[in-house]
Amino acid sequence: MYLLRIAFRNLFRRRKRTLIIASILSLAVITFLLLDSFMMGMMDLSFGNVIDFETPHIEIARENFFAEADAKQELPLAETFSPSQDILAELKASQGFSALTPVLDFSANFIAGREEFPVLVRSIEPTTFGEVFKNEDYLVAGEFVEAGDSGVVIGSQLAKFFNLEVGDFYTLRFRDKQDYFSTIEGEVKGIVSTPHPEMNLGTVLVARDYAVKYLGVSEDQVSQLMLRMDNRNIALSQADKLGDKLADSAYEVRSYRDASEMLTSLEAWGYLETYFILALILLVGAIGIINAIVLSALERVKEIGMMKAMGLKESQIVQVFVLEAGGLGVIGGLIGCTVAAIVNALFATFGIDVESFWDVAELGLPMSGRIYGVWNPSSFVMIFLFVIVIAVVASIIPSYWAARKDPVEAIHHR
Amino acid sequence: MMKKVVFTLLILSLFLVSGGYSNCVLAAELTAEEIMERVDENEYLESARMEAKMIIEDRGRETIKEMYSYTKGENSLSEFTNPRDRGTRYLKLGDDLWMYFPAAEDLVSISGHMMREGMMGSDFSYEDIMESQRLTELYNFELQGEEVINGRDTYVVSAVAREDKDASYYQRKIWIDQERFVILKEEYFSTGGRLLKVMEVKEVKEFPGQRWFPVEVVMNNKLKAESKTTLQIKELDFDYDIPESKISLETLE
Repeated sequence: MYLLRIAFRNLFRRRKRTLIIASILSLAVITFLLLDSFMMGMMDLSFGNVIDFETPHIEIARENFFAEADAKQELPLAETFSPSQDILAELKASQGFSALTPVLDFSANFIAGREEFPVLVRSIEPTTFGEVFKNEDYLVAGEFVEAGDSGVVIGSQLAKFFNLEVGDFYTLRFRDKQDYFSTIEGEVKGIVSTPHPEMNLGTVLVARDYAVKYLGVSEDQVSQLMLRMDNRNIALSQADKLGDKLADSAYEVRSYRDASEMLTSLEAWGYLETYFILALILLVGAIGIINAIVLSALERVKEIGMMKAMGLKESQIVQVFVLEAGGLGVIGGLIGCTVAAIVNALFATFGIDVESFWDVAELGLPMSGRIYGVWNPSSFVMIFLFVIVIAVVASIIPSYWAARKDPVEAIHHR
Repeated sequence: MMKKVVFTLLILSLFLVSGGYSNCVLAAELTAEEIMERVDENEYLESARMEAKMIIEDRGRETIKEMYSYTKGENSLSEFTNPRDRGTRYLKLGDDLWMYFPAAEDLVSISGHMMREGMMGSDFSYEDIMESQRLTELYNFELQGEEVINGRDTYVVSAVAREDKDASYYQRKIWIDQERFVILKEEYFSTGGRLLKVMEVKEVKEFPGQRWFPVEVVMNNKLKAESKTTLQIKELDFDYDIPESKISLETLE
């Protein structure tokens, strides 16, 4: 307790220095916590958009469907299947199951006027589609797809690219299951503007019962079964369980994370970047702490000599300096966490507009709109403890250097 | 004397009638399959070197591409020679297609949606040039009748893709010159019967060995407005001896 009091008093003897070193440490804390919050917010928004518009919590397809789609960047109609009642019953009985909709995805060229553009055509069952996906909520013009309809729903960016409005004619040209050229024609029935840029440009929705006539597949065939679960955690665990159950079948189960490899890699890189920045700032902080300990040791040479002459052991003197550094860590950590909490509260409440600093469509990220900060209490606790540990570790060597001073030389200040 | 004249006229008319009849028999006897075999004999390139010019008309703007190509069965190598695209090469080996960009010294495999796009912005898609087999191997034919195209008598043949064959178009309607056995016009249909493209031959040339070949072809993409590409063949050497190594990935780079 005595040593702690000395260390505490020393901290306040050089207030400015204490404040500067603590500020550097707090800067590391603030940077880390805000980057962490931003990363989580960005991932939350991106995965949310993937789930709502692209791949829901879980998707099931034939094994070769995913393999061929990944390898050729074209969706293979040869890998469509007729879902059996058994598999449908098994999926619906999964824990946390919320809704299921079958889709029949295929690659095509969207043609209107003189232009054409490669798109993914998602043939949907309008009755169940809305239970899994949220595209209909973002309808900005016209109506949504209905069963038997020849009309399609396109994204706002595609409509802008072709200068199309509701009622304009379109043609979809593609290869059918037998690999012959085929077309689907009709009118644009609706336009959606979702927060997922790829959906606004490269995806066309059409009624499945209408599309199958031109695809050369039988009426009950689908390419994927799309499942919405109660939440993301259940989705991940159920995807694993279903994957194990269907391991010996010709089907493959993918979670929204498996389907978004780019996002998962981006997430890993994002965290790596955050930790790298944290390490850099903490390195500066650690150098500051070493400097502070050396300076305070030099300033207090006489004091060290006096303490030794009075019988304090070397280890006790080391403890004083280490506690002093630990105190710097605590002050830096507290300031950092407090400031970060205030800024994050604003970030979580008001968010920031992604498009103001990124062209998300060009980046190919599945997000637009506002990113909101995310509260992550474990990050606050972790960084607070980490900054104290760094401060203490950085102070050990200079503390020993200070404590090894000869008391006589120290008193004479030689 | 009168009897002799009448007899001669009778003989002559019989000869003319029988000659005309035999021509009719010849035409009637040729099945759609046989007609198309004669077309393949003329138009299928076993081994050839060609120099051609492509005129792409897009909304009033005309772009000219020049190229030469080597064809050997299902494989071919084409290189563009016009200043803008000089050195750009395409290599087709069986079912695979590669493109080489000289500026970037980059080799790109053309697959996925790129296959559906027009080659160098033209109305010929990459998928069109991938279909290099004999028509008789890919389609079943049916003779539909006869028509006159640009003053020439033609057979009208409908073609429906054979099962398990790698044809791009399910259905085609082909007009074949009755005398020269070259295609003068062709319509390409989707499985649903939608007209996708129309190809019209503007000029046909006779090459050594009494082989007729179309040297000016206009392709019109019926799904896109104001779209037209003309292909003019400037030089064509049939049975050109192409070394094996000429059409390869090594040559492409």
